[in-house]
Amino acid sequence: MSNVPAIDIHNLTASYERKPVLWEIDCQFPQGKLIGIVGPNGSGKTTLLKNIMGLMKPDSGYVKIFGDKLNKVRHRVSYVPQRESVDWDFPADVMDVVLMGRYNPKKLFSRVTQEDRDIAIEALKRVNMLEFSKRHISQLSGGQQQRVFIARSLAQQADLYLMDEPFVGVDAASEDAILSLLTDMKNNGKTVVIVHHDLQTAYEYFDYIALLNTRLVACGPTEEVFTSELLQEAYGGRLTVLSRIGELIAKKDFPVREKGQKDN
Amino acid sequence: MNTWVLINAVVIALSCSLAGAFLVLRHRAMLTDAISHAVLPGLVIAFLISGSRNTAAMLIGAFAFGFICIFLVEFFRRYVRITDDASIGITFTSLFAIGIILVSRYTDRIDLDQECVLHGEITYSALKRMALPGTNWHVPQTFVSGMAMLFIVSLLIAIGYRGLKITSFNPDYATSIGVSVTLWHYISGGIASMVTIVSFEAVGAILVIALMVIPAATAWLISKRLPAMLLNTTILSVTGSVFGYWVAIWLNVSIAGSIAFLLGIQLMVVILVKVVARRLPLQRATK
Amino acid sequence: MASLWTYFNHPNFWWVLAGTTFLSAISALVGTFTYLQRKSLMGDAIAHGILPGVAGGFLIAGEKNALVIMIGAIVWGVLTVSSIEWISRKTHLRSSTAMAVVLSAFFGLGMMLLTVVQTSGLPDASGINSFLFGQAASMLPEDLMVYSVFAVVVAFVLAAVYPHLTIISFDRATAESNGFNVRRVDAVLSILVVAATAIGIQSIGLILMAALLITPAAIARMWNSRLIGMLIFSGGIAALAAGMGSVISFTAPAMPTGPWIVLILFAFTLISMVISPQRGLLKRYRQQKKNQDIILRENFIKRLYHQWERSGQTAFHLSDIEDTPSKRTLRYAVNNDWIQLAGNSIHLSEKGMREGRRITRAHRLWELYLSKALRMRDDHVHPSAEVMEHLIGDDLEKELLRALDYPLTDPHQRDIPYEP
Repeated sequence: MSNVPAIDIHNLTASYERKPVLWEIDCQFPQGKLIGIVGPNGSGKTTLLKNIMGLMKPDSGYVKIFGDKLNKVRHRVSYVPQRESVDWDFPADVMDVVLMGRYNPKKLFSRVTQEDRDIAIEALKRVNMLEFSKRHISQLSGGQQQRVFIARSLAQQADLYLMDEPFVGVDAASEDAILSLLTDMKNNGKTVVIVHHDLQTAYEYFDYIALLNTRLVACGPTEEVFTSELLQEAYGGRLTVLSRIGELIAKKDFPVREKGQKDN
Repeated sequence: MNTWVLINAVVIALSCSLAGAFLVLRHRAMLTDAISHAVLPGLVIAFLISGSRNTAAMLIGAFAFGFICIFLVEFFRRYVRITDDASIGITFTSLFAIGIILVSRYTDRIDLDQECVLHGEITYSALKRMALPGTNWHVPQTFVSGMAMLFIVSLLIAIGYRGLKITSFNPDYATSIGVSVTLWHYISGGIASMVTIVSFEAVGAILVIALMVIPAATAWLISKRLPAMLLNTTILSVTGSVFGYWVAIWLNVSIAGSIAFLLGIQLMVVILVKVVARRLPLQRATK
Repeated sequence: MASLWTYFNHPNFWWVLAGTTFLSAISALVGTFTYLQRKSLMGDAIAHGILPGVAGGFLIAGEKNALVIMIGAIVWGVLTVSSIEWISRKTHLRSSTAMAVVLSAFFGLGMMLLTVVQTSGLPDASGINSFLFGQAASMLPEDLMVYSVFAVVVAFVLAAVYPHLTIISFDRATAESNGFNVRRVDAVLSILVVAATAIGIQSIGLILMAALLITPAAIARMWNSRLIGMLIFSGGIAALAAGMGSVISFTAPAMPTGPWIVLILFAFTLISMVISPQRGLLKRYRQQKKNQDIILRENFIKRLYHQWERSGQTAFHLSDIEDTPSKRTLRYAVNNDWIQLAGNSIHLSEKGMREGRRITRAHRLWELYLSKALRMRDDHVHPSAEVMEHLIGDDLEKELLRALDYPLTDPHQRDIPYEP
């Protein structure tokens, strides 16, 4: 494992409807760790993840993954969206969804191979869902749905996993299963980044934490970040200066970088 | 009773319903409404320029307006922040209005009228015949174009199956693995526009929505997996058009209208059966 | 122009003109609420789904009887709404899918009934086509009376539920959590949409009726941010378009009226898109140009100030300044007494110095803020400050000063310049 950070976020500013919701985020996530992106509701956690995955275009800054552009290392990255982001009534059974983990743009027109099937079965075994493989996805509990999503992610055989709120709406049994799986993955040298809103559990779960509230409050090993001062700062509300200037930017349609200026 | 009319109806229903399935899965059913209205001016202008029902010209014209429609919707939404559904509503009503004005203005020069725009002319679809190359069989021209359409739609779905499936189910995930959601969005929209255009003459602007949306929506309610849903979609579109045709002949009413309505009845029956089944104690015990 | 006069003298002309403008205005008012609740396409579903009611009303009355047809349309419109509601409640299909299903199936049924009408041999059978695309000129005063009575009722109901509609249009979630009966208001609004659609069938026609519910509201939103303003505007614009449409209908009787009204509304949309004060493209373009101007001239004066900071000189040669300023920038600076310009030599005035100092202060305060409050690395704070210095006005500066407790140096150990 090299020392290149798994994710390098540089001066990232991102907006919704022209109003910045993330301000100049600047941090690195090391490889081989279980990393939490933690913060109150509406603090921009999901936005940050979407920017890392290229699902949103930032107003300024950039993200590098394993020291490279996302497009070059896409096959090493796996993304697990929020469970609510899909329609679970879609006509597909558990196996269908997990097999989607074997899709990639180059193989989009080929058929499912036996190898793909074996990998999918293996992934289902690891999340304890093999017996449900023929079940329609709408007939699963929230925790089971989440495990199916994680199985799909495992089937991608990536090195870096980004998961958006995998513990939301999940029963205790699933939560334990998911957590031990994540620890397993970490021990196998994988990097796992998780968006998480629950402060109580964050301390036990993660080795490394980025504390977020529209701006980065802290980023580092859990013990260093979990100080009452920093937590107070992250959960103590927005900064008035930031919200005021954000409103000005939206109102005056102002850019966040001058023309031609790049963040190097 | 004219067997060819029935066969034409079935062929059209098949391609429409297959093309519509992916729009229904994307919750974009109302887009069919927009497309079927918006292509009218394109058809009329192609008519006026080429002076005949030249399929190629009509395809080009309709595609051009299909794209104008998509462009305007995006434009209104993004630059003037008109809500999503209102952007669609404004665009397609306006384009349709242009089409209707052109139809009424040049009604003597083109063989399209307001009624044809709404009804289609499936009854007359079997009149013009052509010989199949190398044989002595004379079949209606519309049958040949319909079969070609069905073949193209089936082929596109077979080839694009994975792309259509993954971008319909989970667009964010698709983007994350490097599959372009926008591209597949346009492909599914493009397939839908194509069948709309070819079916327009036969069933008119509004009933084509029924063919595209209702069988797929019905099939979705009774299918566990996508292949099954596509199969059920085809079955339901065939049964719907056959029953619809019979009813229309029996009551001597609009064939296209009757097919649309019968498709609606099929959906209602399916929902009712599901509602009743849910109340049965047997079902509850197994669940 | 003589020909136009003959239309003005046509006995029905003023009746029709007054009627269509009034009916359209009322429909547009209802549409404003559906627009705000993002239910615009509901109007389209209803307008198409209503056809069996219209054709059925015609068959029952045996003639083009406005009252019977109106009742048929409203009954069937309510059936359309409830069917959509029923499907989305009983199945996992979304309401947009349910709309497409119901509108097309009902329209099919309507087509079946329409063929029955046409083969019925009823005397007025061909007249039913005027309901599809509208035929304002063919409206009789007694038809107009019927529609207007319905329109007045719609207006009264609208006025009565106005406060409730306002609440759920703006903050549905809060209204719901406060125990507000959202469903009942929804039901009332649905019935209003049905009625608003039905009163327009003769003048616009049901195929394009949706446009009258959607487009005026969208145009009004571009010009107004307050509800009352939107209502007045959308009603007015709909009346104007309908009025113009009925004039066209009289001059070209073979043409249906509806498409013309829709086209006029579309033209209004495009015009508003360019020139509206709220969201117009012109306004946006100007704003961006203005921003660019501000950035350029403030950068210019800031640069002079920096050179003064380094050298203590207030006189410069134009060629000494990096990034040669544009004429426009120079003119602004001279006109505002930031500099005196003689040939190619520039003298930085007291006022210009103050301006340069203000911008530099804003820049350095922002850098310090990013470094302190956002804990950014000191070598990463500059690019953001390059822009924010132009946005930070007196208020924000005070806020920053308070937050940073009147600091003396920025993260790069440069002085933060205060007014002496």
